[in-house]
Amino acid sequence: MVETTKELHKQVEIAHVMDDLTEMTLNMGPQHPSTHGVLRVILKLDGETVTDLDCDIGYLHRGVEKICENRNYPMITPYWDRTDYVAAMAGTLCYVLAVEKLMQVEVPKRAQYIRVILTELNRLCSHLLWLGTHAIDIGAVTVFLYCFREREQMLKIVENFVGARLTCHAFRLGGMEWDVYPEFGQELKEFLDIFPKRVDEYEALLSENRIWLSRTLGIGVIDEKEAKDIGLTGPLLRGSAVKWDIRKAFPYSSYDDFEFEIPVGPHGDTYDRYLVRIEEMRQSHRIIEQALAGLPEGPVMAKMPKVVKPPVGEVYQAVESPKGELGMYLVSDGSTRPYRLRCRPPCFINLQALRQMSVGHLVADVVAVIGSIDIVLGEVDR
Amino acid sequence: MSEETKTPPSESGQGEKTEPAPTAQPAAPQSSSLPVEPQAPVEKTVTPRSLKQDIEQSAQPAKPPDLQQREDAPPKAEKPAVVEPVAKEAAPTPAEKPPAASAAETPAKPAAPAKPSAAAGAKPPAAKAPAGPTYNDISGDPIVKKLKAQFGDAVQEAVELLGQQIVRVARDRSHEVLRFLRDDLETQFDFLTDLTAVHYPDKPQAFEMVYLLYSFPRNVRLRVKVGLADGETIESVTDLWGTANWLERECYDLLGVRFEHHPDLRRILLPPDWEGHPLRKEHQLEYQENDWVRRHLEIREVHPETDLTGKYEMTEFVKANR
Repeated sequence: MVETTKELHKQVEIAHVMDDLTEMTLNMGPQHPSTHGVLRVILKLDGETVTDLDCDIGYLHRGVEKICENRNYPMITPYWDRTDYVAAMAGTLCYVLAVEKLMQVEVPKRAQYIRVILTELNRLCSHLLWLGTHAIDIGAVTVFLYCFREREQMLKIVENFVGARLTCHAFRLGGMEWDVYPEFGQELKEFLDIFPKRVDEYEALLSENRIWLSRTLGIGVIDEKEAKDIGLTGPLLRGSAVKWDIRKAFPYSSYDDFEFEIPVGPHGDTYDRYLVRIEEMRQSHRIIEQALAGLPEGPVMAKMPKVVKPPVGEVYQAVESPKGELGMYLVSDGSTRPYRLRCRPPCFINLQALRQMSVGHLVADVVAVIGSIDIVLGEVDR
Repeated sequence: MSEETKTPPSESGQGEKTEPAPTAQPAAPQSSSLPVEPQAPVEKTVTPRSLKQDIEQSAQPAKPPDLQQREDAPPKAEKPAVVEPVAKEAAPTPAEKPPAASAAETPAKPAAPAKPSAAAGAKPPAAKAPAGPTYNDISGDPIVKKLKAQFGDAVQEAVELLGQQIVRVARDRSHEVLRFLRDDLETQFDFLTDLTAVHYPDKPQAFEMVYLLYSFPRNVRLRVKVGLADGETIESVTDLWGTANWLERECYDLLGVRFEHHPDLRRILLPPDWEGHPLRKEHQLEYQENDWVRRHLEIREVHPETDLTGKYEMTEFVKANR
């Protein structure tokens, strides 16, 4: 016990030690409110300017990929709720799509539409959580309360549907466990009616706010070439003027039935990423409206074998999660368990760009940049 | 990780009712070491074991809801026939079915127990065998042709599976091939989506590096595979794509593949002084007894007879009330 405590003290000391009179090493996290979880950042500072930075991750690592190799296919589904727990449906959707693709199962159209509605609701939840916490990091407390008001309304719908708010486990291999509940359409419609006005409210609070502008404009700039090189996807890539979205590039789960735009920001700074996400919320709203209006009749579950045994082979399936490209690379040996299941975690890869984005900025800007990358440590560490 | 319980290999999809059955079978590979399962050779599709499990599955006491689910399928006739003594209360349901069919099947039942299982399990395997995805050769593809012209035998294989293209490349020229794929105007794979490895302990090339490439201008994906023997290193691609930095660190951390000329190859998810690489197949899932755990987690001593494998055991109560 004494040994461990000593060692801990030593580590902290190392992190805090003053190398030089001009350069200082500062430890931020893992217990720090603005790192959105247990992210530890070791900053090298010259005065208050960041000269170098290293991320220490893995505090939440529990080896999901290894666990999956030892579970059979239906048992694995809920594990992917728990990686990116803010947008649980995206992970589950990606997993079930990968298995369905390998088994060549055609999911009923109605199930596909319900999946789209729920995933887009989840995207809204994720973006609202991001907006609230990002704003609170920068100092705008009111937005947080506004965002959570709408998020609560959506989580109620999700809870009425699947029984859980965050770790939903909504999708099954082959479709949905349940059809929509009777009041679903009504409740969703009520929400959809008010939501665009609420987005305008957030924008009224932030988009032309002087403090917000001075904290985000020109902060954490990453241009198109760098963004592709470092592997950014999702709103970060779109914020760097790349018009790319997996829902358009490789449509899955009937996304090609819906009309929506891909918002892009030209400058690649924190403010553009904010605008992109705000616009994405409006587009998600559009998708949900279309999906709800065109919800086809029919079954919600495909005919699945009782024992799920995908044939020998391998498949890569990607979905556009709120954070970026979430991919699953599944290798099957024909047994009831995957031989290897690799997840391409968007947060993990996007977080790598933190160094590039923050060097040269102030410590306070690192907080803004971490917020704009929108990480969930559950997914970074898996 | 250590508290993860080993579950019985019951493979029923959604039917919780039928789940405990395989544990009762002596042949079910429930006991002992965990990583045995994945080491099965890849080409195995219908080994005796999997067939046996099919039999076990099909020989479940057929419950009324069960029967209703598969009303339209022809295999239903066998189900009640096999388990007739058990499913006495379900008698009305088989009676409704075409009597001729069940009568025809009944004599076959005692003679060949494997036959009904083959028929009953027909839905999954029979649907699988012909409909399973096949590897199509794509050496006629212009890009593959160009690669072959450029690199000759270093391009070992080019196949397509489910519309996804896979190219296998020799280890010593992998970096050149990847650079070519990135820079050439016809390929333009300017984005490294993912980089990972798969462990095949039984093969001479124990690791298979997998590079998932994507081309923004052409909207095409390509999977490049490189075989590696255990202990062999591979050239890092951090100079081609910046993404590779953390991805290769993760690959090294979890699988122990070493990358040459990587700027900063150290562990990323696990603690720096951790021993072993958990995504290797020989790595035990159930309990880690190593230096790091002893030093940091202060685990108290356990009784020497305690079972630490974490496997699931049927209590007498469960057995009796099943």
